[in-house]
Formats: sequence, structure tokens, C-alpha cells
Amino acid sequence: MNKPAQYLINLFILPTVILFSSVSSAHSRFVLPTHTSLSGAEPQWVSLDLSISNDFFHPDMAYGGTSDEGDNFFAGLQLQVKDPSGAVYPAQDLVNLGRKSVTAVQIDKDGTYQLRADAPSLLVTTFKTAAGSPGRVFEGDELPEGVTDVAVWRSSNRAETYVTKNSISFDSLVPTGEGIELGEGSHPNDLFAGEDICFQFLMDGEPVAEGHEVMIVRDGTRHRNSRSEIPAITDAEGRVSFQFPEGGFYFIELIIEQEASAGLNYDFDYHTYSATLEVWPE
Amino acid sequence: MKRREQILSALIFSLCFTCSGFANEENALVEISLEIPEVDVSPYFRPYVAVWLETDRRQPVATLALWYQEGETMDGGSSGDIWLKDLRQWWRKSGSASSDGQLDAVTGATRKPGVYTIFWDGNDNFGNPVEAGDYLLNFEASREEGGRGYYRQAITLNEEGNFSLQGDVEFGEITISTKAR
Repeated sequence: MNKPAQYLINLFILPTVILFSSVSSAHSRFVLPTHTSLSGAEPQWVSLDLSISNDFFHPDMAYGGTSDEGDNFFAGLQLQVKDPSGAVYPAQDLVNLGRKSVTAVQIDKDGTYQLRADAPSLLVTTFKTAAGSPGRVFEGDELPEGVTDVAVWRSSNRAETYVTKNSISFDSLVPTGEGIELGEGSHPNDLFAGEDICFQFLMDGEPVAEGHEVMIVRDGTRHRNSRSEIPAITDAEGRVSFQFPEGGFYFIELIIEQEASAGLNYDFDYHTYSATLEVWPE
Repeated sequence: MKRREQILSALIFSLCFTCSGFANEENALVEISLEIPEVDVSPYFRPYVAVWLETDRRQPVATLALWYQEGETMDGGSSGDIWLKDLRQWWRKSGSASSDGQLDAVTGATRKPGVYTIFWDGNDNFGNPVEAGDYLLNFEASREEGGRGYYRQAITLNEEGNFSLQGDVEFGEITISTKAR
């Protein structure tokens, strides 16, 4: 898709662009494991739910696998396993169960596994229609007649979690340098309520900029009136520091919506990273 | 294994337990009394219990006692070690980092409700003496279909001291007495 020169936009006039989040189904995607901590000599199964939902961890829409009805937009999604040695291989194919997709991973090695679902990066064009309402088309689709405020976005989504058998290890945590990832900080399988926690976020291997809000919210939002998010904003090294107030599964999400580097075939980046982390009571 | 052989091996094991150089009242640097209370529930499962020492910066030093279901479990599982992770605080640093056999001397079966005494001779799980100084003594219990209890007490090794903790459901009273050498 060629980018007409007159549509080059910089961040200072971002408010005049149709924000990506206003035209995408800006729902969160999560990977929820049955277990994050295992002990013993025997191999053990961990089952995982993948879903697109704004309630944690209440599944709303299947994420991955094929369905006889509805669209199969995420049919090709795979859960990638990075085992404690750093070897990467796909989990069993995701099964679409309507509200959620499921898979399972056999955990046979000692150490920490990374379980990651990367939706393929895609180009999306946002615009204002002749009537003034926001719209979007995906890569390869024609723009409607008479649209204005056209902007091209590169969008990606990564959702992951971590599971450890016996001692925690670090090889599967080494950043790949692609997309949003965790950098140095607390180990994602050694989290206790009431302790100082620090996570660093990297974008393509570099710390993300200062001032990004990170959403941290505990499981069970469906059954309480306040989401009770833990406030966290990245510092100059891309880090957030906070404490988990109590045990439970937590959803952590960082969205980076920013102007793209010059010379690319799109104007803006829209990248979402999320992790499901289990926290133990003291 | 025949029933008689089982009884015999259990007898030999318990003999070893009492006579093979384990800490006793005379050489104990720390003496602990802990109560596993009666809990009026059915079914009742005996708790998994760990007692261990950490530095005051929470680095593991020694496990003093580990009571759990070794060998085949009631539901046919191959070993209760798959539930050791439920002793969360002990597991996180001391338990998960222990190598095979390292804790044999302090490991035993789960205990029924009652008051138990633990004598510790001041050596770590490799038999090396632990330096005098400030430590945290940790107590954790986790019971299937029940709750979890976690308590800790700051102590100074090689100084006289007496401490008492009152548990709630998973522990009763815990008393600790440290001695000077």
C-alpha cells in the first residue's frame, strides 16, 4: 500500500487522526495457564485458555483455532513454547470452543517456560468517511470514496505467560529484540503479594519511552464494581515499580501507539503486549 | 512388598532416625516446639510442614524440617513431591533449589495433630556450621482441602533467646529457644 505524501502526519497533530483504538476492537487478549508453578520429578500438563475479553479472566471470544461459524480470523494463531533451554516449538493446535480457545503444554524440563501467542503483524488504514464517522480497512482492501484523515498503522499483538517446574531459570526470558518484551526485573514466576516488583519493557530490544501507562489488574473484574487497577507508568528506563496487594492471577498490558520511523510504508505503530502473571499471598 | 517387610523396614528406618547423629536436646543450638492443631473437618488431611532458616535478607540457609507425603500418594500419584510447591515460601528458594537427597536427613512423613519438638544442631543441609548472627526462622503449613499458614521469627544464632508465636488454624503455639555456645 503506497502512502500518499499529503497524509504524512506527525505526533503533534495526532488528535486529528482517527485513533487506532477507536476503530479496532480494542479488547485485550490473554493466555491463562492452569498452573504457573510445578514441583516434582514427573512431567506435568498445563492447560491454557486463550481469549479476547475485557474482563479478566472471563473469556468472551475465542482466540485461535477454527470455528464452523463466524470468522476464522485467528485460525492460524499458535501458542509458541520456549522451554528452559531456549528451544522454541509450537504447543498443540488451538481448539476453538466459542468463547475461548484452549491448548495444553507438557512441562517436562526443570526451569521456566515462556508461552507466547503472537498475532501476525498487519497493516490497517484508518480514515474519516465523507459523513465524518471513523472507519478502517485491512491491508489489500480498497479505501472507500471521499475519505479524509487517512493514516496507515502497523498493528501487532503479543500475549504471553510463564510456567516454572522446580527452580526458576532465566534462559527463556532472554529478549529476542522483536516487538514488546519484558527486560530485566522481577522473575515472572517469583511474585508474592506485598513485595517490591519491577518490570522493564523493551520495544525491539530498547527500553520503551518514559510515560507509558501499564495496566495491571487482578482477576475477577466481572464480580467487583471497581477494576482496581494498580497505577504504573514507565520511567526513563522503561520500568514500572509497584507491589501486588494480594495473591491471584494478574493481567498486565502495555500498548504502544506512536509515530513510525521515517521511510516505512506506514505512519503509526500500534503494538499491544500482555502477560498473565500469578502472584502468591505472603 | 509384603506387609511384614514393610513393618520391618519402617522399624529400621525409625531406629536410624533416632541414633544416627541427628541433633538432640544436648547438642541443639535451637529448640523448637510446634503444635499441629486438631481441625474438625472431614475429610482431614495432615498438613505439609516446612521449618527453615533464611538470612535477614531472605536468602535460604537451611531446612530444619520437611514433613510431607513421600512415595505413592493416596490417589495413586507417584509422589507427593508434586504438592511441595504448595509450601509457597519454602518452595520458592529453599525447596526448589534443593538437590536430590540433600534434605533426606530433615525429611519425614506428615504428622497427625499434636505437639512436636525439633532440635537443630546449627548445621546446614550439607553439614556445615551456620555462622552466628541474625536470621529469620520460617514456619509454613499447607493442608489439602484446608488452608495455609506462614509465620516467621527473627532470631540470633549463638545468643540466648526465647520466642513464642501463636498460629491460628494450621499451627497452634510455636515456641523457639536459641542457645549460646
